[in-house]
Amino acid sequence: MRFSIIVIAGLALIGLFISVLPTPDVTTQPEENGEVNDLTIPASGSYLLTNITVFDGQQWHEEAGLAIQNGRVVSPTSLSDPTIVDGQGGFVIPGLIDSHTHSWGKALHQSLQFGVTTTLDMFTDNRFFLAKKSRRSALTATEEADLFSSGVLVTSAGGHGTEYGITIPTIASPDQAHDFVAERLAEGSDYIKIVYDAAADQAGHKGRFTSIDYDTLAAVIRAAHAQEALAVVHVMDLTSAEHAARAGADGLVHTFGGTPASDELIALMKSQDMFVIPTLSILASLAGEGRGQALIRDSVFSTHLAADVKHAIANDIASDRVAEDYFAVAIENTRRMQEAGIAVLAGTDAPNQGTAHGVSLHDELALLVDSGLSPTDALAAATYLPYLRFAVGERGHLRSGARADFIVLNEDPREDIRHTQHIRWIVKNGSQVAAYFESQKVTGETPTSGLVSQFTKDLTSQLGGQFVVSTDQMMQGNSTAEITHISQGCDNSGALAVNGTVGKQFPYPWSGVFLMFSESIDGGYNLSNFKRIVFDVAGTDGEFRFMVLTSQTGRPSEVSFSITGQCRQVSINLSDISGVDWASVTGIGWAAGKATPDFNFTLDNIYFE
Amino acid sequence: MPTDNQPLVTVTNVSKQFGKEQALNDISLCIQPNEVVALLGENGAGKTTTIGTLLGQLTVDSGQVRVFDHPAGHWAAKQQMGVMLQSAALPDNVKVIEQLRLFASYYPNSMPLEDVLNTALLTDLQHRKVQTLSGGQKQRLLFAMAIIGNPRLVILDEPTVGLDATARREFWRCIRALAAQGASVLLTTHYLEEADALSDRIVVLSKGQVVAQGVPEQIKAKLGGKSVRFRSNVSPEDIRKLLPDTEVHNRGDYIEVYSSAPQTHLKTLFTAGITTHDLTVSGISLEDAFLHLTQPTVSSESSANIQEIA
Amino acid sequence: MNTSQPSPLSLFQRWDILRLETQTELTKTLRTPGFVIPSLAFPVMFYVFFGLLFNAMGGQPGHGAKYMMATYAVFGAIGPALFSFGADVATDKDKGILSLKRVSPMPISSYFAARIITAMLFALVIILSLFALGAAFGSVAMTRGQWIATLIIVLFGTLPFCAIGLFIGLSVSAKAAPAVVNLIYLPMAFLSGLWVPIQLFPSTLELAANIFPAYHLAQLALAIQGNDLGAPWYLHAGALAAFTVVFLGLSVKRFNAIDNRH
Repeated sequence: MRFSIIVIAGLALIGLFISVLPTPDVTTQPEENGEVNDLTIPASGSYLLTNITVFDGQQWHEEAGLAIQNGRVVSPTSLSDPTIVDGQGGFVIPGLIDSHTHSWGKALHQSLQFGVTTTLDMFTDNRFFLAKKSRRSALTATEEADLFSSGVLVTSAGGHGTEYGITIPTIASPDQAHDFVAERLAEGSDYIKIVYDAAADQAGHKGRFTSIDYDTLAAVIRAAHAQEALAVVHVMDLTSAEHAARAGADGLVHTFGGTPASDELIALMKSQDMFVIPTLSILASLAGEGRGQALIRDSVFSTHLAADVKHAIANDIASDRVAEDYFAVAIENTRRMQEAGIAVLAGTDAPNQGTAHGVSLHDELALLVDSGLSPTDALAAATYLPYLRFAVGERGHLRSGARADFIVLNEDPREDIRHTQHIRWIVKNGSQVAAYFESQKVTGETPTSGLVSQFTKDLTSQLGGQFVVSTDQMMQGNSTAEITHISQGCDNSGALAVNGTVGKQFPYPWSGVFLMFSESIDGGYNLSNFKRIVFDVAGTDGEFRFMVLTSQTGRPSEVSFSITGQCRQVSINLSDISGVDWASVTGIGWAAGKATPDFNFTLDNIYFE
Repeated sequence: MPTDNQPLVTVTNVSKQFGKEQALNDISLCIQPNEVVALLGENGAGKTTTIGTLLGQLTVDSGQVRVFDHPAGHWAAKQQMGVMLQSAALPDNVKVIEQLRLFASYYPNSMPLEDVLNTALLTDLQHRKVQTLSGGQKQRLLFAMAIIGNPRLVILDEPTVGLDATARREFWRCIRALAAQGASVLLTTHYLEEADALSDRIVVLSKGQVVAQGVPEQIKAKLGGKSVRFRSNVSPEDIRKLLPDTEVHNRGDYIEVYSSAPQTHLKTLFTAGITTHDLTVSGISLEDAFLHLTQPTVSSESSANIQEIA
Repeated sequence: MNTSQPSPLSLFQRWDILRLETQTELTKTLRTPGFVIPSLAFPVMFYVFFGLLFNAMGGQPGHGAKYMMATYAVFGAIGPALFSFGADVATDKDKGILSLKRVSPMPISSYFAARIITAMLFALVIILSLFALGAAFGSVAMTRGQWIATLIIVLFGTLPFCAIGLFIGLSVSAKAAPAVVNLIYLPMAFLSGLWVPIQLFPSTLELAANIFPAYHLAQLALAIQGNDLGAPWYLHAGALAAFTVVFLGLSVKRFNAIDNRH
């Protein structure tokens, strides 16, 4: 007897011991987890998802079911003899809504891979927006999130929003407000976004942008309301926020750090039933909080983040213009607004530096919980509240009639909001879509030889593709360049010569030569077997940039190198260029920047090794 | 199952060879209930080999061994037997009581520990570690382990080797106490004295053969004499004539007489006027005795005796 | 005196014998600080030096410490197995204790089972100490399943080493046994990558490690945390099973030979 007790006590001790051993915050992805089977959605698109716990946007339902038909949630009774799909004990939340993004390129695809099924864009190129807008009403299977957008924002000439190289209309006075808003709505804008900085015209203002004045702000808001559109305002400080509230804005698309929110502001926002999209993610980047690094190194996402996503979030803006407690104040402002009963919506401002589509919204939810929201409130901030505030149709909840956009999680997000990262399946319009950890990697063709060109006779590239001039003119800049073949290069044989000027019209100007391997964005070369690129170069003294374009990234990755009058060999380790997926490189380039307004250089003997 | 009057052990015509050496040569013996049998013999006579076959440690080349009507080494036989091996030592850092408790668990009807401690005179030593025990105490512990299972037969292989006189006497007390409780005992020894003191029956082994068996008195009569040595001017034949019931040998220029009654015989010699020089009277060694028993050429009478006893 | 008939041992009696054997074995071992202290202290000390200090030298937090925790757990666990069987069985054999048990009615399997349990208890203490150190000072974090799997695999992975130890114990004298065990234990530990990650070895040595059961056990333990070299688990498990069977077979042969040597 005594012996049995000792044995049992021993086993209990071991059990206790094991139970206190640390476990990682990160658990394995479902694909590595043998217990979870694949989701099998019937071809009919009509099914009953059972054995799940559902958050419908407002309330949790334990051991619930979700009936889906034709891409929408329906009442379970309306399905006769439904196909049962086993949810395997997962936690279902509505597809997430990011209430502050800027979208182009792969943004919508990337968002959806992380379960963000709807994005509320706050200014993008209308060509992109309008192309996507037409698709969002479809209930068919898609690999992209639905896009809503303000289209062109409302700003002054030289104001924030004009710096991106897209020519946009601007507003100068209150009397233009009605027509300006009407034009936006005619273009297709879903709501009106206004940029406002109360201090822009004051002496000693440090910013580089102008701003519309208060009267114009108020006029635009009135015009929007008159035309039954929502007016939201970009503000970055207390005074501007107070002005926006006074002018009757529906919501602020940022909170602010630096100054604590005044009681007046909070009272005013509360009384006008305003909402706020704090975008703590971008404020964290601005303050250099290292949230992106944390996601890369120590999150559920860590193991499967694509190179371009990592590149996007790896480095914060970390502005030295913000105070030490900037971010803490931003969090505190959010907390006070939330406590006062002001609706707080989740938005990221992706893909500004330090943030990326999809992944950052999960981190935003965590930041909202840090600001005092309960995990369920944080979920509502990314689902039900956007549904209430923006005209996004039946998105952001899972009651009958809702669009069947939802995420099935492995873990209960009520326990820890980070459990939204434990994505098992993502469903959009009733169909399963690939999650970020399932997406196919694009791998280009592997070249047999690393030789790019020796320019013996002409500008032919042995690697394939074509040398072309590339300047910021494609972004409405005014830089110029021309390329020629010369017979007397570095080693007195043929070489590529580049002559050009770098203009000032585009804030991030470039001018140079690119070798484009592929016309299409999806092709490219697999250069992952190579270690470095080597080339001979001579020309104008100064810093130049070597750039790499991949099929995954809209923005080139770059590394600088210096050129002197003396001909010399430059060798660049490919591993030194961050954010590049070397499996699908679509182009490489050599470009001059601001530092060398007039430049020329010759390139020769380019090869990868 | 054997009834009470069937032998516990029967060894029938067993032979065993190690390489060229004939360790056992056609041995037969049996042990009856409530009987103490001493297996007497010199080192190398085959005592331990015999025990090995009884325990099932060794397979026999020919013949048959039955223990409690089972083959040797059968679990049912082991359960009714207690064994003290000649070569066994015990782990040093185990206490007496722990060792006994462990062995008690091996047997379904083991003795109460106090009884065992009493029988083996270990009560005061029970909490001592083995390494602190004297040789005799260690032997008694091994003995205690042999009897702990309430065995019907206890096999003790050379239990008193290396013990001083006191320790040996103490050990004898233990064996007698055991016999008094009704167990059969088979013990091996090379001391006639010990065999005599303890056993009901002695089986004498020499060179792998049973050379004599019988009650101690019979064996003692054969082996228990003295050796009388002297130099003399007369021949051994003359002596033989004077002392017809003795054995007389020439040992170099000595004459040696094995005598069961040396005083009487010496008197006869002196009376006959035979001069003796360098006279010694000594106890007869077993070796000599076995030599004597196993050399039928020396005395046909002794061969006849073996037949008679067997 | 004994009037009852012999009866086969009941399950309860067998359990009782096993319990007492184990208890005695444990008491005996614990009263030998010369064995207890080195076998507990060495793996722990090595782990502190190599595992935790290596870990402090950079890389992913907890990574080196986690890797080394598995390999030193293997190192620590197979030590008692080899010594308990190798050295102690040799002693019991030479002293005649083994013969005494053989002629008693106890099932000899209990004797070996008790030794296996003792070796495993030691292994358990060592593994848990390393777990505690890794968790407390090496920021090692694993899922509950990984912790448990590591514990169980390393614990039961001592069986082949019990078999090897047994063969040594039955083959050589009590005096020679500790030396022979050390001669096998220490080089095997090193060459199997228990002290230094096997990846740091030249590839020929890495290949040669396949002949050591310790390598296979370490790879199994590392596979749990995804740090193995990538060979399928069943190859390692198969190799360990093969080692167990071969050495058990050899030991049975030797065991029977011993009894006939009287």
